[in-house]
Amino acid sequence: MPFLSQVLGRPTLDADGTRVGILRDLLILTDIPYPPMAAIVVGDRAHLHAIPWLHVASVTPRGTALRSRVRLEAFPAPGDDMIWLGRDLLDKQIVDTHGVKLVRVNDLSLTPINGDLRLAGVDNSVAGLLRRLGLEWLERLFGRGRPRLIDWEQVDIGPAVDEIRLKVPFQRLRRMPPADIGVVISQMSPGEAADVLEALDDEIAADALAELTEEHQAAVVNAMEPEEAADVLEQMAPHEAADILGDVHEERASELMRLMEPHTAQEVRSLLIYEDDTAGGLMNSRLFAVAEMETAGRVLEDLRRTAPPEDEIYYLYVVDSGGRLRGVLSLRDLVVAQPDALIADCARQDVAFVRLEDSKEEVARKLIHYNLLAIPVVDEHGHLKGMVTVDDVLDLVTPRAWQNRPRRMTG
Amino acid sequence: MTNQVLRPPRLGRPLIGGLALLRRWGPWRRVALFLAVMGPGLITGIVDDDSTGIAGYSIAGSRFGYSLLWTLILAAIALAIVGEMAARMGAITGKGLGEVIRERFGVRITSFALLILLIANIATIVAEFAGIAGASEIFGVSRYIAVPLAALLVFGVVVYGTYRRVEKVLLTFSLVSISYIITGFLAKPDWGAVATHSVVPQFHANLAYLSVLIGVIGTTITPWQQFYLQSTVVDKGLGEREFKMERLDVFIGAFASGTIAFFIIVTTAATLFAHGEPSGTVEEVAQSLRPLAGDFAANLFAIGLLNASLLAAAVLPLTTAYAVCGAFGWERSVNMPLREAPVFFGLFGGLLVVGAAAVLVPGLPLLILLLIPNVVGAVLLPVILILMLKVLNDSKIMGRWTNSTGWNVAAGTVTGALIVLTVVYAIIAVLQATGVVSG
Repeated sequence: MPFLSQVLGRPTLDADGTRVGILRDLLILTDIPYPPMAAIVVGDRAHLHAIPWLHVASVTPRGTALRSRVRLEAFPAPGDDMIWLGRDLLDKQIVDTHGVKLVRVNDLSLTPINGDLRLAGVDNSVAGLLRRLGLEWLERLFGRGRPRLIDWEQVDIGPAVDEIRLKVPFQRLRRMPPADIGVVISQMSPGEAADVLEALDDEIAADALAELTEEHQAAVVNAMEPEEAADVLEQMAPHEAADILGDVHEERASELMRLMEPHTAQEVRSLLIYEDDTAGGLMNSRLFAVAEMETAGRVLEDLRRTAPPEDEIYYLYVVDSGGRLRGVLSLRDLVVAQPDALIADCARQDVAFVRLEDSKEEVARKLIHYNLLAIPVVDEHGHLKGMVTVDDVLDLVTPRAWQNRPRRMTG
Repeated sequence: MTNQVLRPPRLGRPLIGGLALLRRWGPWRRVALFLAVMGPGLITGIVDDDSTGIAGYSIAGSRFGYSLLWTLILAAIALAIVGEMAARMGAITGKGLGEVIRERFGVRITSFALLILLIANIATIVAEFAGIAGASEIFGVSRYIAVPLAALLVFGVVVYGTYRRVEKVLLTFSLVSISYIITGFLAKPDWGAVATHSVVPQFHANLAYLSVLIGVIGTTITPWQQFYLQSTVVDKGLGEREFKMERLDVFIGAFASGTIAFFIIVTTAATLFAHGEPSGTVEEVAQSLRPLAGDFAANLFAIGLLNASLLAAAVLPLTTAYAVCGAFGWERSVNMPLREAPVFFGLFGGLLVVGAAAVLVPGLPLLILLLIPNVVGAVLLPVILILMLKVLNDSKIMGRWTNSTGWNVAAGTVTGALIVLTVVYAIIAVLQATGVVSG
């Protein structure tokens, strides 16, 4: 099973044993699993020729053999429609979707199957590095055994190859859970991460972006095209979008808010005035508030129709006609109530709450003390302003060891 | 439900709240934007005047008076040109210099360049800790206390800091460099002579003058600066849109670097040179300043040295570890458990420990060790600059941001001049160290 580094740079001989040139590169089409080599690139520095695979007998570390006598000049220069293994992939960064990390391609492993030569895997081990440097004896000396290969079907070459040559960029990456995409892009520079997010669906991109540290989020949003960034921010919870916009410079923040949908932008803007680590800065202003004079049946209908996200209806907060917090109601309470029962009658009045300027620690303390998934936030007049879910203060309620997210240079 | 009147929420988020006021003033908008971008270039410029730089300028001033001031203009221009290219590469590619070299030139050249970078940086880190030791001893603090403390401080800031916090710490420390400007005024120089020598080039055809001259220009641009500058531009997420601002940041950094150097030379020239007391080391300079310019000036000088050495001792190990791990694809993160980023932590911690230990072990030939950056730098700098120029002319990588012809000529001239200077400097340094030529 040869490696790419072992076959490149070796002589290419035709059927008569005449030397036609040096093997410069191997070309593949990517939309086939374990892609077979489609052509080889032979020639000197100035003149490269692509010889289709049907003329090739074998590619080995000793050299490349052709099936017949050929005139090298008869073959055209290789186009840019295929992926060049050496030029496009070697030394570049790709995504290991199984190991959920960004890896650098030290070498590529090739497997001959039924006359084809197929791309089998990626070598990102130190052994691969030493092989490239011609220092394999060092590896043998330490006896680390065989190189660890990453199966080709588990990698996404998106970060290495420009979009034009991939029909669907980040095909495998986009099938990963958003949280895992977040882990992968957290290992990229802001510019690289921006490229990935721009190619993904806005919703997935928003979920992935939410996984990054605040500082990295701001840098990534800064590096994105403004229109794309605004689309992604719209998909995020307003309080998360506000956190990010509070960290990018003011000029960019107002540009992005202009590009966002006016209603969402207004929600975000109203959150921006609160300080970061207060209940106001943490809260989600989107929640499902229930008027106390409604009936249980009407509220259930509303819920069915609007289908709010799960974390917005952990609890249903009850407000009076002036928007003041009056009580709380669980989904269970609502479901078991008679359809014509008044909300005011089935709600519990003793609701725990925090105030806009309460510290993050205070919010976490109350969530833990009352054993809640979310807690409502009220202003000085008792108006319901939003709620903080336990996710928003997770860093204060989980052990430190769980929170490690890879970061980049000093950040 | 509550009758208590609560205070309204305070206005937070300084960028949104505070700068919004400035926005109304037209031109201040651009200033506000610039302040958000500023950092990488300025810090690089300030850290350029590290302990080896200060030593070089002190020697230049105390031995040759004002006569080398004019070289600083050339050095600052060279610094600005090379820095602009590193920043541009970072802004356009979104990758660190080590990574770009790996992707464009392959494993062999990358390994070669990074191995030399590693050697050069180890030696420079030793020099920074030597600076810390020297400066603290001026204040009567034993190096056996100051050096380990400094290493711990650097480790703490980097391991517990995020990029923005580290940048803030570094920028704050950079302000301390103003101490050199104050010292310069306290030294009461002859400003007329200073002005003349700043613009009128002057040559003395002797080896000692030549070696100091080359030292001032040739050591201004070091390979690690390009790695540091580029990676901080990348990690700040600065791209095409902010590049004009970032370029200004780089130019200001080069200017600041030159200004500090200028005042160090002025200080030492007005005191040590004027009284005929040429000094060999920075510690001697600080001590001799005491009777000539007063305790305050001498203390300021020592604080400047301590600060510069600390800054560089923080930046160098970090840059080295990131460059190596980035190029070879190893996990690199200050916020990962040790076992997940062993190479990164091994390199970063190892460089700190080696640097600190080297100045604490008695009897180590430090002077020879401190020569290594110059000699090794002479080998590496041309390689790095030529690789940079190749990348900057590659439209596949740089798109429409490739070097213009004019910029290529300027950068080519700087590169050529630096190659000649660093090679000559390395030869002289070795000859002096081995005693063939007396300094």
